Amino acid sequence: MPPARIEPQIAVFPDGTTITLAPNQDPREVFADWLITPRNPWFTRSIVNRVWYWLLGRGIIHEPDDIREDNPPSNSELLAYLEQELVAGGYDLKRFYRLIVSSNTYQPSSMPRFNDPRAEANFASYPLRRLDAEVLIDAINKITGTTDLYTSPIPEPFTYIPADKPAIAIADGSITSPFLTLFGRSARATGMENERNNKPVPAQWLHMLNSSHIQRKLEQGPGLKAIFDSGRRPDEIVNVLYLTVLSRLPTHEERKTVAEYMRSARPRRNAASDIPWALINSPEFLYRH
Amino acid sequence: MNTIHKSSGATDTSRREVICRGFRSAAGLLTADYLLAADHLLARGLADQTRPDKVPGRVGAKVKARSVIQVFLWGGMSYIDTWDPKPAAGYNYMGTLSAVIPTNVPGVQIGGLFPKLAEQADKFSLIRGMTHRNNGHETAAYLMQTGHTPGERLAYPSVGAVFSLFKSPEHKGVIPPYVVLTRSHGRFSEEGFLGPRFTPFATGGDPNAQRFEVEGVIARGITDDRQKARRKLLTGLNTMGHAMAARQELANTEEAKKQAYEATAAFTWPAAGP
Repeated sequence: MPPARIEPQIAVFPDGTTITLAPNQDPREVFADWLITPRNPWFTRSIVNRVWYWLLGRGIIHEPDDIREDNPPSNSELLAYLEQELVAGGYDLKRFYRLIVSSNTYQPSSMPRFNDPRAEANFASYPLRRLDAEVLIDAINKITGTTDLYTSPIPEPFTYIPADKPAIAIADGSITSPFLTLFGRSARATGMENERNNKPVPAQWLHMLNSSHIQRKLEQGPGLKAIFDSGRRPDEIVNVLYLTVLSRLPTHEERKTVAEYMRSARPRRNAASDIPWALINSPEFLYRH
Repeated sequence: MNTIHKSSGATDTSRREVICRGFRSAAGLLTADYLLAADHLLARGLADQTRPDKVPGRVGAKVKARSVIQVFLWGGMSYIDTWDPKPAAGYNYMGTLSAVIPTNVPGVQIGGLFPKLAEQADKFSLIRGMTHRNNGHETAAYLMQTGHTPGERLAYPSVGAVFSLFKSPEHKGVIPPYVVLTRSHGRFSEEGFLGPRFTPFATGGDPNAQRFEVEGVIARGITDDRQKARRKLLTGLNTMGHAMAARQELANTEEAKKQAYEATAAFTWPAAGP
């Protein structure tokens, strides 16, 4: 029997307009094309506000999930300008990120300069935020030269991600690890931004400070071994370690503290995991600042 | 009998003891004895409310479950092999596990794999009249855990998170009210819209090991002296933290860290009194 002829289908966009889908047309492509047109102002506004939120810690419309008539943007000219820029750039997100990160607004330090409550709403200083779960574990793995296992038991057959893939490259919210769950990665059950949660809870500290998962990385990771067994002088080792973990050289005080710890640690090799342990548990490492 | 008696010289139960006890009841507990004890307690608590006349010697006694253990099998064990066999349906339906055994409750049969449970059927409740019409493990698990169909605008919390929401006002101690062995499950975050305070505490570790070590609470191979020394090192190297000590974000994380230290203190540090 020949396959039944597939008739063109009528589809309705969220704004009420209709379109006829040809039998060989993927409706998702049609929807994606509709999403990024200037006649759909909602997506533009939402993504502009979200990118701003990701980069500056607070939406121009605050909270980013709460876009409605009676929740006005803190700066409507800025929002309108950014919407225009995104549309003018053909919805090129990379170009759009560049526009924001090269702006003066993005440059201030995280040391607050004003006590005025309006300062935060107007992006007067860079906000402190804990690294996202994926970024945090990727950074720890990069430093220690280790990997994590990401799996999903649903749907069967189970999914396993190759070990060399970083957590930020996992496309699916259901493929996860205990670390990612604990540190508030979004499960993407909804489209809401607030599904990701970076607020600190004690269980996260227990994991960072005490878990065998992290301790094993610190003790056995080839990345740290390479630094400590490099045959360099102790002060050079400390320099490389600081550059690797915190992207800066140690201060005079820190150098003294670390040298003292290296001298007093028994057995001495404890220092090779305890010093990086202290650095990855400092807010300077854990926070965007 | 019920008065709390404080003799001179005797201290209250130490915090360490309370935490250890609380923790055993929350997580460390997967010994068969304990499971049965807890089950028994739960069954009795329910029995007292529903049919006090059937529990000899405990008429009118108020026994309440203090904790609940949920064993969720994700559809893994078939009901016809276990709790709800259909012997009359024949081999094509029952397959090779067709043996059924009577229980100590007249009229109730369960699968032949459960001879010990069959002897105790008066102590548990069995619900056979429920189905959810959902074919996917993922979506069905969400439905069973949250009571909501997937695809609504919100991600709903699972039953354990709801439980800890309502029970946390009276919940004391540093051990979280909602603990999972050994890792959180599934596609949907179990705390749902309630947020990370209601994320289950995942024990990690291997419950089958000789000594079950809860991840994060006991630091393996780190002596108390070393633990103290490296914490001092952490404080000494916390340059940015000291410079920004006034920032609320850092105060929040320091508070969480303090609570974490308190949790570990009960296990790895010598108890310094109550």
